[in-house]
Amino acid sequence: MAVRVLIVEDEFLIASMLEAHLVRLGYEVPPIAATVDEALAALDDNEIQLAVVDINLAGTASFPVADALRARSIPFVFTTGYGETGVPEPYRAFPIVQKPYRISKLEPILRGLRGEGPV
Amino acid sequence: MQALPFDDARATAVTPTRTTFTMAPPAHAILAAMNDLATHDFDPEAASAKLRLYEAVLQATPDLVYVFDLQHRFIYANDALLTMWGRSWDDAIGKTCLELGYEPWHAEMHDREIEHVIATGMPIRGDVPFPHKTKGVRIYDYIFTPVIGPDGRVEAIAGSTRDVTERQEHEKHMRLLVNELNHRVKNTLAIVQSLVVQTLDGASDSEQSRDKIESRLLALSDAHDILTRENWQGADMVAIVDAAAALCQQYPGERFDISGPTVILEPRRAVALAMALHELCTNAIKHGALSVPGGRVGVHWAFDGDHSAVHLMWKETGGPPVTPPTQRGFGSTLLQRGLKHDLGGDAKMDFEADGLRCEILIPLGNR
Repeated sequence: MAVRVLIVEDEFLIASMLEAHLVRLGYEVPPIAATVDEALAALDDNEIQLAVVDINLAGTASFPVADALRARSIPFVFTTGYGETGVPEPYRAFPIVQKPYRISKLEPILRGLRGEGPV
Repeated sequence: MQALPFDDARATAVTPTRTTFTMAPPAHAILAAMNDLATHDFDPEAASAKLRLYEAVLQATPDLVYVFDLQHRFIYANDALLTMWGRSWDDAIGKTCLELGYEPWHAEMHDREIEHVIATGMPIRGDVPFPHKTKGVRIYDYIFTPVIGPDGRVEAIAGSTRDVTERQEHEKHMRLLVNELNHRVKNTLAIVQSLVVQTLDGASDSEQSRDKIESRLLALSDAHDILTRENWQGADMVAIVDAAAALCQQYPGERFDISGPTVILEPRRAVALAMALHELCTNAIKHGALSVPGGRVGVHWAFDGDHSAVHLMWKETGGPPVTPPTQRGFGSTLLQRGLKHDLGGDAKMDFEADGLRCEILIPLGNR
């Protein structure tokens, strides 16, 4: 069964690029969440196995989403256009990818989060 | 340092309120001592004139200027410091920080620093918050520096303190701005990356995709120009629509009917709308009303009843007969899914026989 990856990102252009890439690689991508509320609802409605979470959702920090993912033991990676300085202490342990990132570099990180080796 | 008799003439001449000094400022003491030791032609009038000058300078500066004796007691405080404390000189003189009501940690910190200056003969600098009598808590940058006596030992500790609250706030604001700018640049680069990658993904010939990438980047750039003019607070929909029309029409003003009230969109939505309108324009030039002479595009928007949303309608007329596209390209994805995602609203395309109609719903306020 395909692995379901939730994308939490307020910029459609950035999200859709990632979505197209992940779908090409055989992942399943439920509707992209643009806000914390949409992301939390998506977690309730979908069997999510992985997530890519933008830290800044139109000015709102996405940490509640990170908390919900952690509570469900769903591994995830943060993306951000800010440096790591913008990440409060409890969240620094999670992997962070700086935007813009090479799109092909993200999937190996996701595989690593699932404890899978390289393809 | 030994306290010397108070010089009445000096104090009353400069600050009439201070009439009962029990200790003289050390500048006087040092000068007098030096003169006594070094020369026999001590000129009291010259010395007095010099002190008046120093006193005028010390009282004029907004900085806090003061002197501690070796027992950490204030033996001089200028008006700026007295004002900050909200005390008179009579009230403050000869007291230590602790006796003046400084918090114990603060008084202890200065005690340590004063001892350090005495021990090393070197100045020490720091910054500390302190409640100004009338302005509230301010941030003070201070330096304690040794006053060296004729025997080469530290005989007093002179201090100078500057209120750096505004400067610190300004620096903080600047750091915030630079950080914010960096975020915006990084985000924009990610958007550019996406535009290029996704345009090329759906492309069959390179000249066409080059043209598409170029015009999408220019549309993005135009949206940025509008936002920059408004300090990135937001953009007026009229400006966004005008820019989209200007970028794609060969006959300025002749092919578009544009009307609607002033609506300020925040930056992210403004960019999303600009990019969507650009796709509509491109499509109109290629397949729609702008592909033939005489075709027109109407762009009209209005608030809904309770001003909770704006409805924008794009309607083409006078173009060739419309046939719905057989496949969905990046442009239409951007229009439909992109607008919905970025605006939190909706976008509906109707390929009506007399011309494309696109209705866009933009909810206002926070999503």
